[in-house]
Amino acid sequence: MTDAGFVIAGWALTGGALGAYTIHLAVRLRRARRSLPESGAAPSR
Amino acid sequence: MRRSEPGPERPGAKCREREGMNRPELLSRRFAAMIGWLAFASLATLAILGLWVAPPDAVQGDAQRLMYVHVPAAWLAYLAFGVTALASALYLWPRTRSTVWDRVAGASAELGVVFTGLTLVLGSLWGRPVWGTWWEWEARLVSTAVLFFLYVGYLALRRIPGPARAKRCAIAALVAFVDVPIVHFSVEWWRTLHQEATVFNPDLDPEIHGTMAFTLFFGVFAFTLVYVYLLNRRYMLEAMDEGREERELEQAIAERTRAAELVDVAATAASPTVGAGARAREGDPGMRSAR
Repeated sequence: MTDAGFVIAGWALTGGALGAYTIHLAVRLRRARRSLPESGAAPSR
Repeated sequence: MRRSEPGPERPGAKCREREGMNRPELLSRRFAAMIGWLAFASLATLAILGLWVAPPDAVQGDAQRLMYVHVPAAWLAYLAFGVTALASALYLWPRTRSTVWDRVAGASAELGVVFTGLTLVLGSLWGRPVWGTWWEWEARLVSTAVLFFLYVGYLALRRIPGPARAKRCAIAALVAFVDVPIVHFSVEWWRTLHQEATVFNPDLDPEIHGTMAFTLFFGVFAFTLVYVYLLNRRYMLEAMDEGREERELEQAIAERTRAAELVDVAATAASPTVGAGARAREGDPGMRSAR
């Protein structure tokens, strides 16, 4: 693999990892919101 | 004086109120969305700067372009673990103790693990064309791998329930943070394959070309925005999960209490002597007269 190949792989991996983690959080947040009861109690701050 | 009468309820007001209660977040929704879009735009700009605008390195050529993601990822890992340590210290300090700090510590540690993992993989990808090896057992690489596994352990510790979970995790986070300065100064303390610090060197004299330096600092800015955006999201998730666990616990207790009451009622119906205690507790007039 050439230098450019390593660079492209690295940058793609960075974007992919950050994007995948963002989507993972969004999916978990959506699931958590769906499981909220209608008059859910607030978690203690 | 004119008295204001309660008007018709605004549509969605209740919904917003409920969401506001159940979605404790570090940033306001509008500000968080703005940070998210700014982070996305900054990463796109960083790609243009790092892949086209910045010149190739005189020695390493194009392979050096990995620096614009590797170094910001490493610095953000330091920042994330620093925030975890600070939040843990604030949790342990009795005057500032709050579950907010425990959640911030957990959320930031997870992001730190993501950035450290990214640093290790990107370093390996950079090392192959420049050093001729994917991995070397030397101080900087090994201390970074240790840092990664320390915080994976910390995240595992957070999942173990118990009355002193938060306190135990806060102490573990402070102990794990000791590895951060070891990682940073490893290139100064030991003779390593990894190059010495270019920007934060002992003389504090950055040995880097102007455009390269600008791109590097822009990368740090972009990654910081990503960190702030994701920290807020992870914090929200942590708070919602805690709320769900509390609700499930309350529900389980209520179910057990109800089941115990049913058993007691059934026992009373079957044998008056067995249910005597329960009737006495409830103030049965028949029982009182018997006594």
